[in-house]
Amino acid sequence: MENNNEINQFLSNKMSLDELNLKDPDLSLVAAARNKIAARKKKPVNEIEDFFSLVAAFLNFKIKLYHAVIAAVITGGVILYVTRSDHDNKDESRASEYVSNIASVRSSTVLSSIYTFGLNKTQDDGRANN
Amino acid sequence: MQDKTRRFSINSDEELMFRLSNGEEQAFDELYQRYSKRLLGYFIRMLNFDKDLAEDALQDLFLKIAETPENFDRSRSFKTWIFSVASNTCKNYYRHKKIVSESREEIILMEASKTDNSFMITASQMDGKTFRKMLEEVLNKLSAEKKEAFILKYQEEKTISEIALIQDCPEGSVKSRLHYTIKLLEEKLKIFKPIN
Repeated sequence: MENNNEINQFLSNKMSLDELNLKDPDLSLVAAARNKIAARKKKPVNEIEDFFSLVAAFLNFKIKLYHAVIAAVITGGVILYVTRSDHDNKDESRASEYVSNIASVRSSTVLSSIYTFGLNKTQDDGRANN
Repeated sequence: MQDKTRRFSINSDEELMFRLSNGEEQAFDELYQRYSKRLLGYFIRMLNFDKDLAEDALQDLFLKIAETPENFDRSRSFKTWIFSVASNTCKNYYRHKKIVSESREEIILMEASKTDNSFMITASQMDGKTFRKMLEEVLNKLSAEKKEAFILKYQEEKTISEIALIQDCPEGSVKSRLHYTIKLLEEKLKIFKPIN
């Protein structure tokens, strides 16, 4: 037991850092790491900076497949909705147009003039035959 | 900067990690002052005494800590955690930088007998430089796990249970790794044993 302790002590001495003659590593060795921490530091941002960072984030936005699929589905839905409501409006306007046309035809003198024209024509034809 | 870091010197490692995750550079500097030399020593010995590679590994390790301090498991001791990260950094270096020990084959030890007095007698008779050289040779021949267990035990003076936590293995494995290395040293020392 004592022998083991002696060996452990001896090896600890031989394995100590002093045996390697090391100097303290320079902090400049980890300059990149320190920059990373500085970048992580939360700093107060004003609204303009915030707006520009938002724009920059938007420009840097990477589109993924599911983004495209969702966008296509939404666009398709909107187009379908708009065209259908447009179609319904057209039907309605056509119906009202038809009604007003009928009314105008009924109220016009064209029909009666056609009738008069026909009557006059048969009378003329009868006279000619006589 | 020395004065700025002074104010963190009373903080525990765990508190410094919390401050670091809030972006306080001085907390990082304090941690660096506390651990960089020890970790450099660990990397030098783990990476076959290549000082440049050890400095690269040290940079990588502290960069990792700076980038993702939230990876620190608060339920664990920082001292144990940082050596686990260092251990993983070494594994990456072994994988990517093709660091291989001179001989990965297990050396069959002559006998499993208890270490006797001859170890101490011969070792203490050797001059420091020769012993250091022999120690380097033995460490370079060891597998990464055995080498790490030995460095953590004798350089870092960690307990068996701490080493088991760092290496994520049972304590029995740590003991057998250490035993193997000491036996190997003993075998090496036989060369230097004075003939009676």
